[in-house]
Amino acid sequence: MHPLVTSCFQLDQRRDLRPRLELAGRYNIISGFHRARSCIEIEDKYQIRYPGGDYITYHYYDEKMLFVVCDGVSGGFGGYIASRFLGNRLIAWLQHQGCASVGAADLLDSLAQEMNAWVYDATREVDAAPFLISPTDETDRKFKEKRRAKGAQTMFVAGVLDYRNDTADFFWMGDIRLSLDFGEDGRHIQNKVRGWSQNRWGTRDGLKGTLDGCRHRCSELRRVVVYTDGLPEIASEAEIGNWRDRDFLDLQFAQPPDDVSVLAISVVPSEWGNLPTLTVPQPILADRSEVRFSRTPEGAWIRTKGHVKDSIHAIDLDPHRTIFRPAEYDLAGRGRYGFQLISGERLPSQYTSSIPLYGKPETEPVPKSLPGLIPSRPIPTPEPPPIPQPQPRPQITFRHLLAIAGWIVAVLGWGIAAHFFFRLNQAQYYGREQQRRANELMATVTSLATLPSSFPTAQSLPPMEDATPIQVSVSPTPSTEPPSEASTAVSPLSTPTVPVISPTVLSTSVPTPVSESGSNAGDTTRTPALDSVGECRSPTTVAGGLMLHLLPSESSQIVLSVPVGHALTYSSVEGQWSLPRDEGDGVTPIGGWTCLQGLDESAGCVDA
Amino acid sequence: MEEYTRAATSDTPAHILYLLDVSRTMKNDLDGRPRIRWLEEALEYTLDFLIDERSYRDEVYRSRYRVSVVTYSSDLDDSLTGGGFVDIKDFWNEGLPEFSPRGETFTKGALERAYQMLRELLQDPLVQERCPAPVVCHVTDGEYNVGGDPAPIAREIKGLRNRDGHVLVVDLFITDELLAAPIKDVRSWKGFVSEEEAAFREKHAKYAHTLFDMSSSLPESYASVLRERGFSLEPGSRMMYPGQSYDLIKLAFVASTSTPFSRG
Repeated sequence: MHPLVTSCFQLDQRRDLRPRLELAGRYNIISGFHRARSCIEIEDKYQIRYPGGDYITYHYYDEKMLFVVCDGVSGGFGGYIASRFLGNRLIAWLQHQGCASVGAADLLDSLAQEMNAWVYDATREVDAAPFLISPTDETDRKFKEKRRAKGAQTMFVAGVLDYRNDTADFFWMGDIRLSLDFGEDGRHIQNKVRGWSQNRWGTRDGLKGTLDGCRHRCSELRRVVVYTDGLPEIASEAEIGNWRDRDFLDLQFAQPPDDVSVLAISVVPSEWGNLPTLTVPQPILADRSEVRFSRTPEGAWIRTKGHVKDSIHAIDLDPHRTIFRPAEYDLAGRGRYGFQLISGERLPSQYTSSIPLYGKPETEPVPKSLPGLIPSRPIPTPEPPPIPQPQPRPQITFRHLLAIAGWIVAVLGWGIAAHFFFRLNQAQYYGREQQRRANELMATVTSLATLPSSFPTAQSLPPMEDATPIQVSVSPTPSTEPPSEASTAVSPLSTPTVPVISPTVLSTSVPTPVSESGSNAGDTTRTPALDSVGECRSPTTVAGGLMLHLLPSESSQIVLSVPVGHALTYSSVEGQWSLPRDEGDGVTPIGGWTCLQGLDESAGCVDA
Repeated sequence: MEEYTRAATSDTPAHILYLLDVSRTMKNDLDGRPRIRWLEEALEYTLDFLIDERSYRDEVYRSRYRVSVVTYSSDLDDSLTGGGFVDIKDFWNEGLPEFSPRGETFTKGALERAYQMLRELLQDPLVQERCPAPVVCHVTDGEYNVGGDPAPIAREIKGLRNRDGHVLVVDLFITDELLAAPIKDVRSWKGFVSEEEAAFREKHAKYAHTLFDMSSSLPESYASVLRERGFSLEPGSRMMYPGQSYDLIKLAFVASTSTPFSRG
């Protein structure tokens, strides 16, 4: 009875894999992987997970064993991409090919055509691959881009062991070692030929060199061993040729100079004889996110195999562990996990029935691109490192511009609407209110004008709300002097203060006067057209005196002209205006406006 | 036994000294182009190859090659690399030089300068103990006409060594009149295995033989690296190359970069 009916494995290139045994039907499979020293150095230096260039994948089903081992060329860009791409494509192709029904030569031709046809997809994948390490300078960027444009390359060995049809087909390009052991006569063959390292598959070029293959009878095969060129760098090939399964399992890698991958498939599990019956500790479901075990004497460690979505993850728990949490192994979402006991001699028991468990929340990013097996001693993964990546420039699209324009239009529209609305209301309000005040003011001024200049009493004026006092006073100016900057200066009268008008009511800008002659008050100046912008009007100094424009609102203006030698003062404390002059000419209201005599009528009036 | 097996790595970089003749005869045409332009192109090709193919592993540049460039005509100029050896990427970043041929051919002086530099280099314990044997790539297009015979100092250079082996001297003789029977296929050419096979034309025979004697024999490890690159030069063949075409000029530069290299 076979412990597993199907088995599928894809290597996670970013993690080392301690050699492990898996029983798959009538095949015993040992797989192991260790990244090159350079990967570890890159990880230490740049604080990123850096994948090795090798790739292993296999699939067992229906007494058929498919496998691929690839060795990405690390001298070029993205060897790990090429090896993963080709490994997965080859497995899929082998699965659908039905090798046994096709002649060996036809199979090879068919594979060659297929591999050349994969170039388009592979090139797209490589072109889209980002640099895992940001370029350090312009030369570095130039060479990296050039290397990426050349594409990635990989070597491979692929095989199909079909026990039912008694065929064993193998294909390879490059210097990955393939050893075939035949049971009866101890025959041993290898694929090593001169110049083989020049044969490879490129994501941009397709087949480069020779694609080789061979076919044997599966029933004659005892063992198939595949390993990449990293292994001969730490053990001699003669030595490796004599290794048994246990030797592969005991392999220890100490930062090899190149990636090391091993896949040893024993076709008949005779080496192990009858598997011992191991008591599988029944897992205790603590909650939906973890299971606990009680250890049994014969069990050295426990292996779990989880089906999570479309991936299968095999994890060897360390001997001291009695708990398993998928989240600790970066497994996300709901999966079904079976458990197996591994003895001290590395013999496996059967799997338990599967248990549903939840891993990390699925919202967290999971590296889907490299699914695969996670080692029992996961290398501590640092937090996302501060990789010095150039900040992406914000993309300003037409939609953004449209939104900005919309905002501007809305704000402007609102502003304009609010302006007219408030101005209208203000005008309506002040139109009534200020007309009343103006009338009162005019009446007061009129009455004052008739009083003797020494008359000390000031009439009450309606208080001006929110008035911030400023000093406005009218000083007597000799009428003979031409208008000048000095004459326009406002100087205080002997009467201390005449605070008057709120700055919101009056401004201090003075339009340039235009000289004219003739008036009973001496030279007068036609008041220039007053600027009607805003709510303020200037206290305009003219040759004949000072003209005040009181502007509670635009629709209600009061213009007062004061002849030279006379002063109109207002005390905000008392809220009174005073015009201390003795020959008070009458004040003649014109329409809604008021002009003081002594000035040209038109000069003293402003159109509304 | 000298095996020249030390690999160029970032810990044990290879050192290559280019000794380039920029005398006025380098203005002469070869295949319709001044020889000096071919030389510049071959140098650029070599540096590009060393950076792109040899110095990158995965996505990381590794400083595996250090070069020095000394040009000579009537006098010497080693300012391009500051009188010493620099990392090839640093040299590349400075921009590749354009040479202006002029003056005479002071070969002996150039070799003396090379000798001094190599002696200084080999005093470094790292270079002496662990690095690959240094390589001198001498490019010229004609016989010396100042300074005297360079052969003795060339022998001195070949006598220098580190643990990996003696200093290797590559000679490239750029001329289209050297061989009676031109080499048709560079990739299948086995190299000058013996002086008799060289069959130099009489016009240049004397100096060609001098260069032949000055050149080192191709080590097995170099031949192996060259085989991987598709060349058929035999181990033991002299590292003297007739620059009759751009392919042959490139071959000499390729040979100078065939130090074994580590994939790690």
